[in-house]
Amino acid sequence: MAEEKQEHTIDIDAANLMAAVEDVNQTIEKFLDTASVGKVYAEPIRVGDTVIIPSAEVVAGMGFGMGVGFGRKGEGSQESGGGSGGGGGGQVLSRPVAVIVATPEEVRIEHVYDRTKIALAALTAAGFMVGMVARMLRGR
Amino acid sequence: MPLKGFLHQTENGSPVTVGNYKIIPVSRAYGVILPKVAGGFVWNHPLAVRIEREGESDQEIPIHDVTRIAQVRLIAGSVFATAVLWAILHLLGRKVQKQEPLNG
Repeated sequence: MAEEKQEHTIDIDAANLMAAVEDVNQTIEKFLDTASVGKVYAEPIRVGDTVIIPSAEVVAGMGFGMGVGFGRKGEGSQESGGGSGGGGGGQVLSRPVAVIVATPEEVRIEHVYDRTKIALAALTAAGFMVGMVARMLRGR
Repeated sequence: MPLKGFLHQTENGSPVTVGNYKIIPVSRAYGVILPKVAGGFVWNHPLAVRIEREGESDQEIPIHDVTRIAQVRLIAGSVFATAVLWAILHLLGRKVQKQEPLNG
């Protein structure tokens, strides 16, 4: 049985495609910029002789994807069509970690305690323990 | 074109002068840039503060994320305590099983 070979062509607006690629590249460069030291430490705040530098942890994730598809318009039809599309998404999370306090006499680090996160972790740990112990006792 | 692969960089910030001190904040970033798709993940955090003073050796004060440390300790502690409890209950159960035929 002879295989049918058919070439498909899609009209793609080259200018739009290049603009999209450029947008993606710019976004990736901005994303990679989250690895720079400037994103972790804020601008120093001067209050008299004292300098305060807040610091934070930064977590960023993102992804892009695109695809092209084509096919016949219907069963037995000779007409064909196609299209392309793409999309992406990402998120940046930031959380304060510590504050550097510098005076002419000393430099000290003031740590930031996030009580809500610690309380949630304690509740999760307690829930896990209670659940596991209940399961162990039930199994005996 | 952006780099691809693993990212691991330690970077010094711009120095800040306070009195006789020169403070240099240091950050460390880890990341994964996926090679097949345009995407990835970056985790950047403060590492330490380097203090330079004229006529004295440099000092480095590490910055600890106390919230993260507390979270990890709580979760690890609960897992460890549960494992110990499970081991104790398991051993007790085996002891009782061994003693039962003698008593009966």
